[in-house]
This record gives sequence, C-alpha cells and structure tokens, in this order.
Amino acid sequence: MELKLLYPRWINSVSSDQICTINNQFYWPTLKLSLLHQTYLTDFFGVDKLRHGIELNWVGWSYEFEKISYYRRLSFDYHQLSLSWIYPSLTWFEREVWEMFGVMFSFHPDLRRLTTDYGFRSYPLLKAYPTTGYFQVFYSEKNKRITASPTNLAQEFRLFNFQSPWQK
Amino acid sequence: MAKVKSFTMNFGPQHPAAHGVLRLILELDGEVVVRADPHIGLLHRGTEKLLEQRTYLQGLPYFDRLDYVSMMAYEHVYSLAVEELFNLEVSYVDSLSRTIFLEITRLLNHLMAVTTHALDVGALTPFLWAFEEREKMMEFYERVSGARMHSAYVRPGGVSLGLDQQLITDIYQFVQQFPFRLQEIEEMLTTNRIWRQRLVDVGVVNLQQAMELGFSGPMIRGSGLAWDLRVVKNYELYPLTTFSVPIGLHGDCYDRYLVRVEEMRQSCFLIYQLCELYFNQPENKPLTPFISPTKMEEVISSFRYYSGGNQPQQANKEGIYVSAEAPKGELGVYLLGLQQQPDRVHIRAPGFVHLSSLDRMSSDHMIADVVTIIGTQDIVFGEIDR
Repeated sequence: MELKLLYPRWINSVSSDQICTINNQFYWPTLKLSLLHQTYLTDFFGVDKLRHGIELNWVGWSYEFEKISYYRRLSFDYHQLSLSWIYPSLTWFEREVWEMFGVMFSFHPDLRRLTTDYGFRSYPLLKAYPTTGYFQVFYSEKNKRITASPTNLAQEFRLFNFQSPWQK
Repeated sequence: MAKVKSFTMNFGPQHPAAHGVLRLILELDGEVVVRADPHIGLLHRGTEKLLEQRTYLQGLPYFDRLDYVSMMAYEHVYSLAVEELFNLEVSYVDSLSRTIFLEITRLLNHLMAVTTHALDVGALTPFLWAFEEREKMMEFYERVSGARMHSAYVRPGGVSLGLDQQLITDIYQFVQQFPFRLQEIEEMLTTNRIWRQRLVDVGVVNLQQAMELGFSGPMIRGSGLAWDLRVVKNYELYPLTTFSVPIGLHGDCYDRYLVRVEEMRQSCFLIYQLCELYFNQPENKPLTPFISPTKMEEVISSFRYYSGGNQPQQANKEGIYVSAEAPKGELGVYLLGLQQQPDRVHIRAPGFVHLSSLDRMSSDHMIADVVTIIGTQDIVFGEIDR
C-alpha cells in the first residue's frame, strides 16, 4: 500500500490482505490522513485479544478508486481519541465499542450506551463476560413494572465444544 | 409575545411508523424537530456474542433473524466469509441458485420498504398489493428450503438444496408478471400529489454528506453516486449478467423511493437473465441433490460434521472482512476464526449506519417528516440491534 511508502513511521506493517497496522502513537493523524486520500471510514469495531489488549479495526472505502482498506491497531489503552468529528459515520460505532468493550473515546459528541438496557453496567463482548449473563429482566405482574433479578435458568448453560484441549 | 419553550416527546417504541422497536426522543420547537435521539437496543439479542459459542454452521440461522426482511442476503454474506476462511469453492449451479434467490430477496425487501413507507405516509393500498407478491416469493422460499422466511438456504460452500426445473419455470413466470404489479404500485404513488408533497425535498442528503455518513445501498445511490457492490466486487454470477444501477439526483426521499422501484425492475431483469442461464446450461441434470447418509460411517461423519463443526485448516490470524450488497446497503461481516467456533464476529449492518444519521437528516424538519425519513431509511430492527 502506498501509505506505507509515504508515511513509513506511521504505519507499522501492511499484510498481504492489505491490512495496515498503524503505529499506536500516530493512529489519529493516519486515520485523518485517509480522508485526504478520499477514503471514508465506514466501519469500526473492536476485538478482545485477551492478553494482547484490544484490537481496534477500521474499514474504509475509497469510492473514487473502488478500493477497500483496513486499518488496525492493537493497544492496551482503554482511552482513545474519537474520530467521529472527522467521520460522522463512526459516531455510533464508537458508542458501540464503548459499551461492548469499555474503550473510552474522548471528545466524542455523545458517548452513551447504545444497545444494552438502561442502567446496564458490564462490557458484554469482552471474553470474560459469560453468555448467560448475570441478570434477567422481565415484567413483574405483581409489582406492575419491569424488574431485574439474578439469572435463574431452568436448564444449566451448556457449551458443546468437542475440540480436544491438545489442539488449541 | 410569550416565548415557546421546546419540549421533548417520545416517538415509539409502540408507534406503528417506528418500524418495530425504535424509541425516538424528539425535541420539538412547536412542530419543528430540533433534535432526534434514537434509543435502540430493544431487540438486542447479543448475536455477535452468541456466535462466538456456535460452530460456523450453527451460526448461520442467526443471520436470518438479523434482517428478517431480507433473509438470504444476510446468510449469503456470512457464507462468503466462512468460505473465505475455509477456502471453499462454490459450484456454478449453486452460485446460480444463490444469485436467483438473492435477487428474489431484493424484491422482497424493496417491496416491503416502499410499501410500508407508503403506509406510514398514508397510502394503505400498495401495501396490500405488495404483500400478495411477497407471499408468492415466500412460497419460492418455502419450496426451496421448507421455510417461508428463516430459510437457512444459503450455506457455506453452496446451498442446502438445488433448484429443480419446475421451480425455475415458476420463478420465470412470476418475473414475467411482476413488472405489471410494480406498475400498479407506481401508478398509485409516483405521480400522486399527496405522495410527492410528503416526499419531495424531505430529508435531503447531498453526496458529500452521504459519503461522510457512511451511507450505502439505495441511500447513497439516491444521493447521486452509482455505488453498487454487485458491480464493484463482482461476486457470484453478477459478472455474467447485465443490469443498470439507478441513481437519484437530489438526494431526497422521493429520489430514494424512485431508486428502490427501479432496482426492483432491474432485479426482475436479473432473475430473467439468470433463469435463461439455467435453461441454457450444457446439461440439465438435477442439481446437487441432498444425499442423506445411509451407511453407519457416513452417519457418524455427518453427525460429527454437523454437531462438532470444522476447524479452519490454515487459521487466518488477521480475520476476514467480507461485504456484499444487501438490499439495504453494504453488509459487512468480520470473522476471526482460529478454532471450531469463531473468536469474534462483527456485523456491519447498513441500517445501523443509516439510523445513526437520523438526527442530521430530520433536524429542522416537521414532525410528520420524521415518519417519512424513518421510512426512507428502510429500517429493520433485527439488524440494527443485533
């Protein structure tokens, strides 16, 4: 990718699949720069890499050159700069990453939880979060309101993983 | 003169024009919208989290439930991602039946989008007509997969069952009569004075804004950019067909409506061409029949495959991002799979991006226009909340 040649210090590596790994120090100028190259970021998401930190991924389309590009950075920093002032499309994606992974975006115009329930606290897409959850929410006929109580399952949560532990 | 203070109002989640479960908090200055704040998540099921604990095949039916108006388009993108992960090739005939059903899905979705939009704005009749046509197409779904909506038909590596001659003949017949039904709907709406008064110059998004907001599908085409991933990425059998990509000129709701109607015509044309491709195949043998296991060993391996799942041969540590043109816009699936279960699945739903711009699109509009704008965005909450 030509970006690597133009800005060798900003981009660590470019893989065969055209995935740019951005230098952690320079992620903000790099992503801002992609706009100069007529690339509009259309997608942003996090991946929990456990002991390697949180991986943040941006996907951008250059409409003029019909080219897709991927930007990526791996960091332990749960405090990031928001890009939604440059790319308004990222506003909700950053909100989602905040609620799902607990990554904070400073200077975000409106950083609230997005899809989870009002008053929800955990970060569900972190690997440490169980699939069954901690609370169940239901309408209580007795109290005439929505109530939350600790999870009470009729059948215990089952996970069929037939993979041999030696293969992992 | 008394100063009028702006007041806040709940729109939905029970409002019929909220297209499901949208809770919209409107800040109003008289009848003019100052700020619209969508509260989403009332249909949040944690699909992405659940997929991390399913095998690749078990994850497929979840994609039907995401966008329950264009089911196969979602299955298809997930299948594309899994195929890339496992290096699977799809045979020509499977690709053919996929492409036919992708276009049928586009018709299903756009019929729903256009006519429920009309319903919100006040025209009930096209909705009734469209649902008759939708019923016919869902019958095709049923004939090929056994389910009217959540079909789980497109599978990683192909389709669950090949098309038969009779079905193709019936689809061919359907496509021949469908443009006339579309004509009826258009006669009711396109030049209708009330419809035009409600749609023209409402929710204008110019091209620069559309690109910055990450629009895709009919939303960006309505703003005047001929951007269609079917053309850009050339997946499935689209390279073998000819179709045109309609664009709007003004970027208002009316243009997006026209784009959707024209896309339905193009889809008809595409299905017509694909049926021709089917009939002109070198040998017309029955396609990929489902072979149920008969021997004990076959039963065992089939059971192991379906329950245990498969592990990718070469683990792709980078993850795979695949996107395709769903009826609502660009649908992307990111799949990071190192084991039998994906480690992370991310779904880039087009409706999510479109709804996030609702505030920009509807501010300084009248409150009745909010309904029009929600309609033009073609929102389905299964995909937005995930």
